[in-house]
Amino acid sequence: MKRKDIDLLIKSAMGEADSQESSQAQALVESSPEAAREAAMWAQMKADFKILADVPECQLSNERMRAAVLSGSIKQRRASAFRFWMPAAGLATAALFAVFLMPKNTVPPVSGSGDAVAITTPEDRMRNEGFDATTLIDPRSSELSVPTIEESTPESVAPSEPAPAPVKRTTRPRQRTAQRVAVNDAAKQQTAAEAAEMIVGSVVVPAMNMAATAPDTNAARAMMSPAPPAPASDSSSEEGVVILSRESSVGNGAPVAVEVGRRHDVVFGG
Amino acid sequence: MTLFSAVSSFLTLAGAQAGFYQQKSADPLWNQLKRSVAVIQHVSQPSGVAVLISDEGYFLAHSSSVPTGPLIPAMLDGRPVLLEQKAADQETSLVLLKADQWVADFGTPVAVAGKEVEEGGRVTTVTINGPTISEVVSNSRIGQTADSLRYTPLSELRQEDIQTKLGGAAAFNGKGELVGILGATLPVRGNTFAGSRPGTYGGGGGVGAGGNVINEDRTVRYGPQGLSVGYALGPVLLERVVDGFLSPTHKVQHPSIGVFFKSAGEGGGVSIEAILPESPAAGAGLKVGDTIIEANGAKVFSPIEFAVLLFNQRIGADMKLVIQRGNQARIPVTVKVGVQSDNAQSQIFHR
Repeated sequence: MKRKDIDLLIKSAMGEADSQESSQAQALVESSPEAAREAAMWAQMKADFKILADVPECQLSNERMRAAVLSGSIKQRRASAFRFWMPAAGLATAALFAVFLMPKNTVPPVSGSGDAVAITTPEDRMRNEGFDATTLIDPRSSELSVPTIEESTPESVAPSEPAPAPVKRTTRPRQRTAQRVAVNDAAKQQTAAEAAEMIVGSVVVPAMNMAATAPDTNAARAMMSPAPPAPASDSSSEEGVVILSRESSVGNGAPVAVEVGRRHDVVFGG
Repeated sequence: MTLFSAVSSFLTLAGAQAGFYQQKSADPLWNQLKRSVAVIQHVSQPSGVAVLISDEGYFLAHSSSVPTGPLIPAMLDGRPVLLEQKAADQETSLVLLKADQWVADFGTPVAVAGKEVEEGGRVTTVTINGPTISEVVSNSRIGQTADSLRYTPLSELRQEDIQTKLGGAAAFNGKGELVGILGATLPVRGNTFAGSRPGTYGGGGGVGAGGNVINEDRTVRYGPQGLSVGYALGPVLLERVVDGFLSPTHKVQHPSIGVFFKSAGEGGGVSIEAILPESPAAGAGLKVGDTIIEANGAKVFSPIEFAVLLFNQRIGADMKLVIQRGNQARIPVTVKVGVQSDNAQSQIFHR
């Protein structure tokens, strides 16, 4: 192609040609495949230039910084409560099935002579049915959270992403041992809370939290399953605790910070 | 390190760092800071920065910036210096370096700022690549060192830099005063790091393998793409560290009574999980399982409150505590604040 033809095509692609030049360029494009390719190339280049014009001049300007902070550069993916409710609902459903389908253990009637009758504790029944007491956590730890990965939110934009709602489990002391206890008929008349605190051997076993409202086995078994997670509270005043580890980040080689939700059982030293 | 290797390292670093001190920066502060910040070298590569804190040639650096070895080469305003580690503070991971054959006026020492830069403000953060601007997002982040689990006040900084090694970067306010040293950064999404397996947690009970008290519940947060989120040890802590390092013993003293504690529940107070042997708490008769409900006349609502209170105690002062133990509602206990021992966590009782 001749130089002046190329110049004409460039001028036309850049929008600087008058009407006559535009017509000439159009005719050239229609008559020559090479000219058409040339015109398409210059049109693409103009589009690329336009993109470049949108990039701020100074990467460190306040505006750029603010925009980057506000946008966070990636879309925030809110932790869906659905993904916590589903497994919890599934477990609750499974527990209900187990309650209704499995044979019920009942306390045998007390004989008229008033002799003590051995009964199994709820713990015995659960262990027999496959629950592993060692998976139950310390009673002083009232919450157990399911760790998740979540993207942080710029502080200036919104409150920090709430920590995933903990999966509530009922708790029992780890050291409780399964033993048969003998109670007399009078114990059946006790309140549920009193009945739950039994003397096992020589150790006073603390009452289970749920026993005060659900003395019977079925409800007890149902309540041992994980309860639905508590609704996320306003976390704007509850930023996580930042643990400074000694591991190095692959990205920038700096030690890694891990943020732990404040509602969890964070142990401090002092 | 032999003299030959040190010299060759200097030459290599001089070539690599030729641009470091000649960088143009929008911040005029940089011309002032060039004489106060040395670039540490490791195997012909810059590994971190060290800040001059005294006329006698003492430098402050983060341990992640400092390679092992008796003599550490560095460049200060384009001139070579040899540094030697003199002390380390395990709690903050900061180290004290001393320049070999230091000459007065070879550099300009900086002072630690009396207070943090206000939130929303900007600081000049000096990395191995030179100065950059960081935004102060928060001065009230609750930090915790992984080893001792002690409370550490942190400032959260953000900068448009995810590639440069940021550990140990030094942050300065507009007057050239040291306001922070970056202790850690949030990992950028997509990166993994050793020791963390998202989605997993330890077993129950609060005591992990080996009997150490650990924080089991973890939520891993990642930093946003394009931005680096760093946590800086603030000036309050830095001042304590610098005072300790520049003392005749070069030892930093952190107040401690020797307890590990967590929330006692909805009713408030903190429950003692472990007590260090021969600690002030052990001497005062505190026991595992005690619940501290008051400290110095104020009710204790959360472990963070109590941790902050302990952090701000003066060594040698008496802390008046009120505890609950078993059926006894209120037991007054006085504990004299002592000095934290090294390797505090390794001394925790096994449960």
